[in-house]
Amino acid sequence: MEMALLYIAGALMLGLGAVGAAVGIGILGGKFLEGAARQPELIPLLRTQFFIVMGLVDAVPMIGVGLGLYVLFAVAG
Amino acid sequence: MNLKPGKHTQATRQRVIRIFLIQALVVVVMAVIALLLGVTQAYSVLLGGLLYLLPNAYFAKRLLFSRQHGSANRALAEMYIGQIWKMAISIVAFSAVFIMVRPLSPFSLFFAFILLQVSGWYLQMKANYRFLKL
Repeated sequence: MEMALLYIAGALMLGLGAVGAAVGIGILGGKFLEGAARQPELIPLLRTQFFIVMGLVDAVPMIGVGLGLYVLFAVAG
Repeated sequence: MNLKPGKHTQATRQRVIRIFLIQALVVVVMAVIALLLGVTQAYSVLLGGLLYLLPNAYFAKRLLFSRQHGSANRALAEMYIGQIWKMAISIVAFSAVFIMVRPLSPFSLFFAFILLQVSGWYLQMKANYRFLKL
């Protein structure tokens, strides 16, 4: 029973992290395309901003992935 | 707006390299401090730093050091492919560390990892003065 709960906890961390990252990165990509379509000459600048905001968006999901894998491999395994 | 894409990209590359060097230095200093607590804590801090720096360095290389300057669609595809590889590298590296490295101090590892994430936000925003003005 305890093992099953650990696996569920790990799966929830990975899954919910993936949902958050997917929504954030999806919006980010859409906005990048909007900006690039309006002003194509700004693509290099937008690419830099994309890189920075991508770091902000996927930081917390990456921490969640790390903790989830720790639960799956080190605690449960 | 007088924007020179080549110069802008070059400046961004230098900024990103500088940020990675600062973060690597922070990891080494933290590992030396953690050595006072024990060897396990010290190499766990180093592993936490490596787990952050390796995927992010790959992503930065793919995104900013690529010679392809195509359309917006091509740029976005490059970014998404880079992000997918970054996540794959992170997952494989985390799994390998948790399976192969025993004993491990998870608090030291995650402390270093989270501290580098937060320092990454701070340094990127501090280094990129245009970020909040767009």
